[in-house]
Parts: sequence; structure tokens; C-alpha cells
Amino acid sequence: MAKISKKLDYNERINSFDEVYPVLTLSQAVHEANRCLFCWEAPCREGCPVGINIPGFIKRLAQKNYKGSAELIYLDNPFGEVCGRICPQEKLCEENCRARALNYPIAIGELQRFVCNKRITGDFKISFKIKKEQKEKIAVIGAGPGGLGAAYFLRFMGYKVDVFDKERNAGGILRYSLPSYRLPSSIIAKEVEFIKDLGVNLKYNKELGKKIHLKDLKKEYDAIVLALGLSKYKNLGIKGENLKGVYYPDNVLNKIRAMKEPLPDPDLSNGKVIVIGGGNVAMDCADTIRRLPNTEVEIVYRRDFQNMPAWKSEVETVLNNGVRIMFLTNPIEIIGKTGKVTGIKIIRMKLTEPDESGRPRPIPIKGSESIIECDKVIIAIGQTKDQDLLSNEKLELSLSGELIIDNNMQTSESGVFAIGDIITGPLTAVNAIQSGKEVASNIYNYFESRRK
Amino acid sequence: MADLSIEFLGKRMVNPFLIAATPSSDNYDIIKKGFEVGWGGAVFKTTSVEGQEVPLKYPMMTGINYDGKQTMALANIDLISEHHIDEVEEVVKRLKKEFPDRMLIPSIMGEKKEHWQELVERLIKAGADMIECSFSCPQGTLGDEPGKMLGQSAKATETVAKWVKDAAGDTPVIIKLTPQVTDIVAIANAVKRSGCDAVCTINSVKGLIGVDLDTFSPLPSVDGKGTYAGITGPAIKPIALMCLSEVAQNVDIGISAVGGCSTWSDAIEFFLLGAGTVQIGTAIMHYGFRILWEILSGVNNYLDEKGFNSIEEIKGKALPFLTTHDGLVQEADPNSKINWDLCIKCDLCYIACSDGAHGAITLNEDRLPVVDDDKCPGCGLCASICPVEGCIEIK
Ligand SMILES: Cc1cc2nc3c(=O)[nH]c(=O)nc-3n(C[C@H](O)[C@H](O)[C@H](O)COP(=O)(O)OP(=O)(O)OC[C@H]3O[C@@H](n4cnc5c(N)ncnc54)[C@H](O)[C@@H]3O)c2cc1C
Ligand SMILES: Cc1cc2nc3c(=O)[nH]c(=O)nc-3n(C[C@H](O)[C@H](O)[C@H](O)COP(=O)(O)O)c2cc1C
Ligand code: SF4
Repeated sequence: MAKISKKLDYNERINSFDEVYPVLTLSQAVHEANRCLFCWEAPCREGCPVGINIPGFIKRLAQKNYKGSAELIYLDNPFGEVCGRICPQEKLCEENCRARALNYPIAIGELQRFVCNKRITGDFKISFKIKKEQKEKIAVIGAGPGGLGAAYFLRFMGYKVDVFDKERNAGGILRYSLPSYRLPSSIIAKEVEFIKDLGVNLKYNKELGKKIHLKDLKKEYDAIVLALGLSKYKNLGIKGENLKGVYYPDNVLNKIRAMKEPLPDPDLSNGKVIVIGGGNVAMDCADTIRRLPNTEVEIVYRRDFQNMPAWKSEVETVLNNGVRIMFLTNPIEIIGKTGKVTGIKIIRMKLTEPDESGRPRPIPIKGSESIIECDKVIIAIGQTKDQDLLSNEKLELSLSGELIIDNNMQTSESGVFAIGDIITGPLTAVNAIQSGKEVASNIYNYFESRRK
Repeated sequence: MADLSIEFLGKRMVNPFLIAATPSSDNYDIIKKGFEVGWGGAVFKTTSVEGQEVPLKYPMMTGINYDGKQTMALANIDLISEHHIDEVEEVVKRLKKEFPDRMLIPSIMGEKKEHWQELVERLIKAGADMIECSFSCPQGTLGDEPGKMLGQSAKATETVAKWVKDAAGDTPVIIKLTPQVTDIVAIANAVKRSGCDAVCTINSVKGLIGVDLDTFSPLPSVDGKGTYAGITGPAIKPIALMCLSEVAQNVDIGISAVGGCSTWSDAIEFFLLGAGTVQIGTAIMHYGFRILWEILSGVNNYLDEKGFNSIEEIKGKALPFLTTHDGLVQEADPNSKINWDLCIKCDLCYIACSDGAHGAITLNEDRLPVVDDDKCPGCGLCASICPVEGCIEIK
């Protein structure tokens, strides 16, 4: 991520749960916007999953037409400010930016955040008109970025949309798991409000499989969109995983995020913590725990730096903040005494020919076992969906447990569609929003073909 | 959502933005592209009668860059269109059929009375909504006086404009003026007397954009030699605004304004100073027709924010506030106010004030600029050069 705003000072940010990068100042934003080349058929735009008209919004920002700029952003993305903050721009729009060939890429994410922040802080209001009200009603289950994205674009098209979620707030992972120093709740709330203002209804405390069921919803709604995300964290399947002191990311991230004043948490503070995994979730766990008093954090990852799935900028941040990473290392047992973690047994790995993910396959080096002492272990090696829930709701799964969908993202049940992480596996918020946008047009076509 | 449509010389336009007479309006395909993007109309690249040779020379353009940005000004030694009246007639016919709601304004230039009148009659017959006459092309020579533009003589302007209006009848005629006259009001009055409906201010400004330091050839250089060129783009906006407002304040005549408009706020300035329509040339040539979307968005948001319902409501709104230097009455005693919270300590204000103004700024031990109100008359230099938005105000 091209960062041009000034990071908070080390002492201010290092143990704080406030945002690390402030919003750009007006001068910074206008200066940066004026660097944009306004490329034709801009490659940045191609790198954006939802296809925001990036040069357009930047040109309007450069001309200080903030409202017009925000209009372009929200036209393609209801989470303009959220995405400005948490998208991996380094791998999306900014990766493609042609200004890189002159000096360095435009800080597109930061500019987007700046413009949307002006809306959120009340500098101007934008509102979109619904072109034509349609008679169909649609239920969206899951108020994460995918579900809310679908609801937003469906509402644009004039459908009546109700969104159900088991929680008491909207935003999904972004609201419940992402560390607040990367994304404050107030920002999500403001963007959710924008979606509501468009006429989307949100219904909380409605858990599919418990309070609501597909067969009932099908009677009331013309189409249903499942955007349940991935609610389960994977375990390692090794000895010692039920010892006291073993945690999964939700036990850490969701807990800390929900606390008003996270610092003195007695359970997670104090002691040496091993985080297992090399993805962004592992990085977030490590950097969150590290912020708590008297903690020492080390990440154990089985491949090397090059092959880490976490975004490079995140890994660098974590390293800069004093977390150590043991590469080419795999846990084989969690060791405990009187039911409580005391250490972890690891083995060194080496990389061999590529596996199905295209990355070199790590294999253990015989006889390289050793033990690291620690007080806590956080297992952050991936998320999966709730398969039981899906089969109980009579949806077909493949042998490998994938939800079966056709080219239009429709499940085995006619009129029931699925989007977001639940069909793609763990990806990003903007990809989930994109699939919400895509399903909206698929549902439009579905209704059209039904009319014929 | 404000109403961006306007009425100009009795005709309704979807918006007040016209493609100026430039290569962007030189043939059917390119104008069609512009109309598809949404431009309200096009002033065609200037044409003449058949058989007149148009000796174009290439390269014909050079830009001046400023602070890392391309084309603060563009210099061209283009001439009129290579397409003669017979081709232009066809273009007008086709476009009129396909885009009946867009203003088609062929631009013409002739030598003799018969030329001017023939051009007018044929183009109106083909379906032109209005006619623009270039009295002001800074390249090439016209008539008896080499190097002199028609629009530099009030008498010649009146005579030729009258020929054109006689032939045009009810069809509106716009006379495009050069800013390079001692008194543009006198020329606009001559247009008024001729019976023509409007003036277009301004054509490109004759200038010399630079010299190649290695070959000594003025730019743009055609095989080692250069000549004076027409300067266009953001750099000429102040001249365009001046000519526009002088005519708007003094002559009761329609005005199509042009010269350096590149952003929505430029466009608003043109309207505030009395423009009926705004033409855009260089900004399209730089960024493409799509620049219109950014301009329309900004104009619309400005009108909404200020509570205006249409462009017509802001037309000429700045004119009552425009006076002569003698007419400026100063009551306030302004000073420079520097906001230390925003200051980045570049100290440019300090050096500008000490070497270019009143020596009123000193630096304190933290390098923060301190203004001595007794020495500071509020001249505005520091605020003009400060790189930080909103850091220095004169009040
Ligand atoms: C720790 C962490 C950090 C991340 N960081 C980033 C980042 O920086 N940038 C980025 O782009 N992406 C990030 N991601 C990924 C991103 O959060 C997801 O890709 C995205 O949230 C997926 O959206 P979704 O709508 O598919 O699912 P979710 O966000 O998971 O939303 C699913 C929603 O469904 C609801 N739900 C689930 N089951 C039921 C049920 N039975 N009944 C009713 N409601 C139900 C949930 O309460 C939730 O609101 C991160 C993920 C994690 C875990
Ligand atoms: C390459 C070029 C060719 C032009 N040709 C003509 C022309 O044929 N007739 C004319 O009246 N003006 C012509 N102009 C002047 C423009 O119509 C316009 O008055 C001028 O460019 C100022 O506007 P701008 O700053 O928006 O470009 C030309 C300008 C350029 C850059
Ligand atoms: S690629 Fe970079 S320079 Fe080009 S339009 Fe996009 S942000 Fe601007």
C-alpha cells in the first residue's frame, strides 16, 4: 500500500488500538491527486475488482469536487472508505498504476479513503435515486461485505431487500474480527447507514438454521442470497490442541475487538505466545496480541517469506513491530502440564517441488525436532464454512465439501444464490462485494428468464 | 440536480459546453465521438471554399510544462481545416440527422465577400444551427495587410460581419475575436453594429512558446525553423476571462467564451463573468472528450450546493463586482494569518516576504513563521506561494 500520510509516532501507535495512519490532509490529497496521469483505459481500474472509475474520482478530487468524486466511488462500491483502508491495493489497483513507471504508484487507497471520509464527516451528502421500483423481494443472509454489497446493488435495481444476520451489528468479519487499529467500527457503521438509506432493511439476531430456515424464506421471497462467510477456524489435528492456552483467531480478534478498553485483558496478556500460520489472519493475531501488556510473540510458519500468503506490507508491519517469524517450521505437538500449555514441539521443513497451490511443498526434515517454551498458542491456519448448516438447509455439497453452484452462482436450490467467502474461500472484502454485484445482475437475469 | 441545459441565441442546448474549433472537431467521426460522450455542440474546425490550398506544416504543436505537469500552454501553427466546404456540408447533414439536439456550428473564413456569403448559405442549407466566423486566426496572413487579423480592425470587422449576417438571415452568427487588440470592446461594438448575434472570446493568443537550445530554432520547429504560434490552454485563461468580462460589461451581445477552460471551476468562472456557452479545446486535446464528465459533475455539484437551479441563474453574477482599480475602495486592514497547526516549516513564506515583499515575516526558534502586523500590509504573496492548502489566509 502506498502510504503517504504520516504514521503515528512509534510510541503513540505501538501499543494502541487506534488507527495507525491518519486520513490524508487536504494538501496531501490534492498534491497526490495531481500526480495522477488520468490514464486512458486506466490499468488501475482493471485492477479493482469492483471496477471503480479511479482516474475519474482522482481527477474530481484534484479539481476539489469532492462530492462528484465520492459519487463515482460509491457508484461501484458501498464500502468506499472501508476499502480505501483495508484493500490490499499493493496487489490490486496500485500494482497496475502507471505512475509507478515515472516514480511510484499513486496512493489510490489513501485518496479513496480521503474522499469518502469527507462524506462520512458530513462535508457533503450523496444520494442515489432508485430508477424503478420492482415488485420482487429478496432475502440476503449474512451482513458481511458480500451480503451488504449484494443488497446495495439489488436495491439500486429497485428490488426490495431484507438482510438477515445472526449478530447484532452489520459488517461481518470487518465488524467483528478485523483489528480496530486497521478499521474502526464507526467507519463501518457509517457505510452501513448509507446502505440502509437506500432502503435496504437489516434484520439482526436471525440465525439461519436456528431462527430462520430456507424453506420458510423461499415462500416469502423471490430469491435468496447466502453470504454466510467462513465461520469456522481450522484446527491442526495434532496432540494437545484442547489444552488450556490454545486459542483460535476468533477467541483473540473478536474478543479484543469487542472490548471497550482492550489493554489489560488478563487472559490474553502476559507471557510468550506462538502464532501458527502465515496468512493475514495470523499477522493480525500476532500484531493484536503484541499490543497487550507483557507479551512476546513469535510466528511459526512452514514455508519461507517468499511463499507467505499474507500481504507483504502486513508481514513487514508485523516484523517492524517486533514480532519474530520462524520460517520453515511446523508444529507437531502442543505440550502441556496440568492441562495447560507449556510449549510447542516443532520440526524444521524444507521446500520441494510445487504442490497444487503452485507454491513449493514443505516437507519435514527428519530428526530436526525441537521444543519452544510458551504460554499460549494461537492456531491461525485457515477458515472454513459451516457445512452442517448448509446440508441441514438441504443444499448440495460436493464430495470435498464445496457448496455446489452453477455459472450464475445459483445453488442446487432454484432461486438460492451464494456469494463471498463461502464460495471463494478466504479472499478479500472487495472480492466479496464484487460477487455481490455480480449476483445482483444474475438475479435480474433470473427474474427476466422466469418471466418468459 | 440542477438544470444544465441552457438557451443560447434562441436555441436550446443540452448543456453549454461546445467542442472548440480544433482538431477535435475536424471531421464526422471525431465530432460523433464527442457527441456520444455528451458535448452540447461543436464549433467545427474553420473551413474555407474549395480550391483554396491549406499549406499545413508539421510538427505543428509544442507544449509548455510547468512543475511536472504537461501543457500549461500549447502552441500550435495549425491553419484552417483541410476539409473544404463540400465535405463539411456532408458532415453537417449527417450529424444533424443523428444528433438533432446538438448545436452544429461550422466555423468559416473567407477572403472575398462572395466566399463568405457562399459559405454561409451552403452551410445553413446543410443544417447548421449557427455560424462562427474566425476573424482571428493568428497564423497565416489575411487580406491586404500581411500579419494582421481581421479582428484587429473595427472597420474591417464591421464590414465583413455584415456580409455574413446578410447572407445568414435568421441564423445566428458568432464572430470569433482575437484578444490582441487595444480595445476589444470597440471590436465587439463593431460586431454589434453589423447585426451579428454574438462574439466568441477568445481565439488563441499569438506568441512564441520557446526556442530549442541546441538548434536555436523557435518552437515548434519545422525542419530547423520556427514561427509565431497560437497559444492556448490553462495559461491563457486570465486573458480569456478579461476579454469576456470587458465585452459582457459593455456590449449587449451574446458571448461564447473560450480559452483555457479545463476544470469545472474554470467553467463556472466563465459563466459568472457572462459567458452564454463555453468552448473547450486544449483540455479535450490533452485528456479526451471524457473530461466533460468531470466538468459536468463539478458544475452540477456547485450549483446544488449554492442553491442555484440552473446555469442561467449564475450567468454574469460576478460582473457587478468587477470594477476599475480606481473603483476599489479598501476599508479593511488585512494581515497575513498563518496557521501553525498546518505549517510544514518550508519557510517559503519567509523568504518570499523578505525578498519579494515587505520583510514582515521572521522565523522563531522552531522555524515557525511569525508575522509582524505593523510591517505586513496583507499583500497576499505569502498566501499565494504557500504549498499547504488553507495554511495562510489574508484577513
Ligand atoms: C482476521 C481477518 C482479517 C482480514 N483482513 C482483511 C483485510 O485487511 N482486507 C480485506 O479485504 N479482507 C480481509 N479479510 C477477509 C475479509 O474479511 C473477507 O473476505 C470478507 O469479510 C468476506 O465477506 P463475506 O460477506 O463473504 O463474509 P463475512 O464477512 O464473514 O460475513 C458473513 C456474515 O454472515 C453472518 N452469518 C454467518 N452465519 C450465519 C447464519 N447461520 N445466519 C445468519 N447470519 C450468518 C455473519 O454474522 C457475518 O455477518 C480478513 C479476514 C479475517 C478473518
Ligand atoms: C491545434 C489548434 C487548432 C485550432 N484551429 C482553430 C480554427 O481552425 N479556427 C478557430 O477559430 N480556432 C482554432 N483554434 C483555437 C481554439 O478554437 C480556441 O479558441 C483556443 O484553443 C483556446 O481555447 P482552449 O484554451 O480551450 O484550447 C485552434 C486551436 C488549436 C490548439
Ligand atoms: S494507473 Fe495510476 S496514474 Fe494512471 S489513472 Fe490510474 S492512478 Fe492515475
